Amino acid sequence: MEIKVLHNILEANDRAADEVRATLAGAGATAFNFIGGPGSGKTSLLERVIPRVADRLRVGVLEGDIATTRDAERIAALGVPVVQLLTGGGCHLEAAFVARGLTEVGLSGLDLVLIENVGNIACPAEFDLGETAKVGVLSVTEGHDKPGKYPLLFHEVSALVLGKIDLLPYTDFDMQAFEADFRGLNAKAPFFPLSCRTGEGVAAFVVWMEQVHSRETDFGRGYGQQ
Amino acid sequence: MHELSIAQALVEQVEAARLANGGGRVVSVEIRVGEWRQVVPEILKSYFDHLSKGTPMEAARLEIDHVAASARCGSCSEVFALDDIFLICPACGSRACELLTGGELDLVGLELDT
Repeated sequence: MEIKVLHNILEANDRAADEVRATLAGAGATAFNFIGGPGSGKTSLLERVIPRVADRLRVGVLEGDIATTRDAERIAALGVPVVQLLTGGGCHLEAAFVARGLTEVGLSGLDLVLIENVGNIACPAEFDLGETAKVGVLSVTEGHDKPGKYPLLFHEVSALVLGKIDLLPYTDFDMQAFEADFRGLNAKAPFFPLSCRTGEGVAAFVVWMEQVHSRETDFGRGYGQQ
Repeated sequence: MHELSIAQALVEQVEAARLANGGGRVVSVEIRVGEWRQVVPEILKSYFDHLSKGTPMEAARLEIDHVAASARCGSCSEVFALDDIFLICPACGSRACELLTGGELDLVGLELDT
């Protein structure tokens, strides 16, 4: 007997992601999902961003890793609540993990939730976590050819950070080729070249994050009044 | 490696569809995978075989239909195949294009031996 069905294979994850979105909206919080390879500078970026917003916004962090709590310890040193999500070998976070993490981190008091995905430039792009925005994190030492090699991530991101620009003089990174390839996959997402080491460019990225947050919460308030 | 998560989700959906259709042994499973999905068919198949062991879908044939990527231009409405992956309209050069096909990851059917 042949049976025709039509189901998105990841629909269970997508349903969990919709619940995360509803939970975030209910709490008035904005979540950013940081996706990039190991060593691209995701944790360093969070270490730069958090002190710049901590006086105005309450931040919580979900740290995705295969093993160890090293990244969570770095974030905890900044004095913000952090939950380590260990995937035990899994190469990406899924929405159900994030739902648990939001409960543990104490979502009700937070404005921003920063989710650091498992270090991996490919797999995390496949899984909706219910985040407000996906942020791609690449560094100049990884090479300018990455957009064409991992099109899904560069297509999906709401913003792209290119880190370690202080190392540009020591690499053959071709900025023009990089931007042309990225724009061929994503015409709209803002692009933030920056260096966590010198701090150059970090302010512009933080401004964008705050804009996303105020857009979300303004919309939430306006919607609630209707 | 995320093929393991996909295989797990697939096995759960096949089991639900099997039970909804009166049970029996699963002979084959047909899925549709878009070109932009980062899925390696051999890896997905081996996880599927592993996870289905000892279940009514053990030894079921996993058929994977590949869907080529295509896009539609938001400026001139041209529909084009994404031969070189970049979303740039070959007719007018616009970058305001959206992916039309290539993002599929669907269970489309199964065959039951009841």
